[in-house]
Amino acid sequence: MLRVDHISKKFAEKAVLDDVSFCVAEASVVGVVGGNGQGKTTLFRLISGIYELNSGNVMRPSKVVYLPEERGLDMEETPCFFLTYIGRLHGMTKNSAQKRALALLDDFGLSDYADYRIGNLSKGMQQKVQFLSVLVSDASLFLLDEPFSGIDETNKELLKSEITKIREKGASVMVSSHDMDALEDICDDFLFLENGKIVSDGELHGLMQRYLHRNVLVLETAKDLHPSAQTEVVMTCRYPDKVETWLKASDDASETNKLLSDILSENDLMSFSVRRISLGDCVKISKNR
Amino acid sequence: MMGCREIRLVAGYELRRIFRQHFFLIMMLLLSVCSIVSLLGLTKNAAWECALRLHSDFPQLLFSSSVFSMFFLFFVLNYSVSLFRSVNAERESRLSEFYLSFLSPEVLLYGKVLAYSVLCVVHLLLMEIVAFAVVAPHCESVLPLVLLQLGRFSMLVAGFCFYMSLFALAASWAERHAEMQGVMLFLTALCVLSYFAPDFVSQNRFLMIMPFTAPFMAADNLSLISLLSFAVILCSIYGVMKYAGVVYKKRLFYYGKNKIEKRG
Repeated sequence: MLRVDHISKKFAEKAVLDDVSFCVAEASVVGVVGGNGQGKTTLFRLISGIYELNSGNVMRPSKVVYLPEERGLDMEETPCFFLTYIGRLHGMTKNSAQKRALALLDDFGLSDYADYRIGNLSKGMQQKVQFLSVLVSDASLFLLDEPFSGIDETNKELLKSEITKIREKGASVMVSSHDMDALEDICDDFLFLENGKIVSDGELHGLMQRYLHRNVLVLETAKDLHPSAQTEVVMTCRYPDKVETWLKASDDASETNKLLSDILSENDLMSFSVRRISLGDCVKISKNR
Repeated sequence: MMGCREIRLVAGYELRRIFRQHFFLIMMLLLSVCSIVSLLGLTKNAAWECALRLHSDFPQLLFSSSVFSMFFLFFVLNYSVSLFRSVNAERESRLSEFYLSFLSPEVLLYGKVLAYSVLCVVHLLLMEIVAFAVVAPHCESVLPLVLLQLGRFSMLVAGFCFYMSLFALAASWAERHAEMQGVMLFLTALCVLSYFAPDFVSQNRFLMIMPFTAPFMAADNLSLISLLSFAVILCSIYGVMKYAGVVYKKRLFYYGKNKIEKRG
């Protein structure tokens, strides 16, 4: 289990993280969400011990591995040798590390490239090798900083299934990503960072419980919807040339059709669509409020 | 001991990297040593007579302190650049960020220093083999020479490790290429000055045990003070590496990121 108590980190008087506290339970995956420069990478570096804390306390398990956002690989080595070396550094014997490395390379479709120079592989393959260098260990806590960046959709599914396997083995995982759809599928909980602080997760979790994966009717009009047409309004976004209104819709298509026809009778619509609310939409709704 | 296994693994990895990068040079070195030994074996007395014609006191020259100190200087200057570049390459490639989540910076740096020390030992052993191959057939007893060389050998290796740890500290500290060059120049000058200082240093016992000059002093004169200076060198290596570990972590992400001041 990971426990972070009131940690702060400053760089030259600028507070990058301010009074952050949270827990990550065993056998769970926590998604860390936030825009660029909000403190996600700094948080990971503090937890892994690369940065010194300015204040607060981190209680981490003994074995932690960190997958950095900026990929670090020895371009002159082969994937097989590099992964074996990493496995041995984690305490494995040479034979077991080599077997594990070859098995992982096979799972990720890289067995044909096991003895190629890493520098000669494509960017996506290098990303996979970097991810495997984390998987080769039997750590209790995995910190993955943007593991999905530069990965195609097929391999993204593979990465997600591996992260799920890590959780099933009893380890904890913290994943940061801008790809909220990917996080939605694998995370048990989320941390939202904004300006170095954890955004009041109560409100956001409330929104997620209420709206996540529910249907919503998205309407574009020239002006605000007629009051009588409004049912439960999830969000209203006012732009210079239009107003976008999100109305909670039923899973039943006939009810949604009836709602739409009621609205059409009293309003001029520019466009409409039905969509399922994602995690990213929940964040957008929260910010809009 | 905790970390010893990891240090050995890091050293092995570094040696592999060095062999990969300098394979041709290392092969040429081995080939030249084998050639010299073979030539001596084939020509037997002819080579010896030729050497004596060049310098009547050739055996003494081969094992003189100035030659020994010169080789020490050569090893430090030769391997320090490679060590410096290796540390900076890891900082630049962000490999070190990955390693530091499960290894301490001291392990990384000790591993590198160990790798270069092994190289230095092998390099020196090969040269000693050549030297003894030349002298041994013509000496009544090589035992005194062997004992003398063993003592010098130990001091050289310890002194080499000390200088390598200084360069590891400098590589952990440097933020820009210009700083790297400046620090390299300073440390190189320190080593060269120490080479030329023995006459001055031998007048002061305190200076004799300083880790910078002790290897050169030991080449000149092995005594009880050499034992003390050996201990001082080992303690200095530990202290420098401990500090280098702190600096390495603190300045991990500074490399190449320092702002260049605008000229008005």
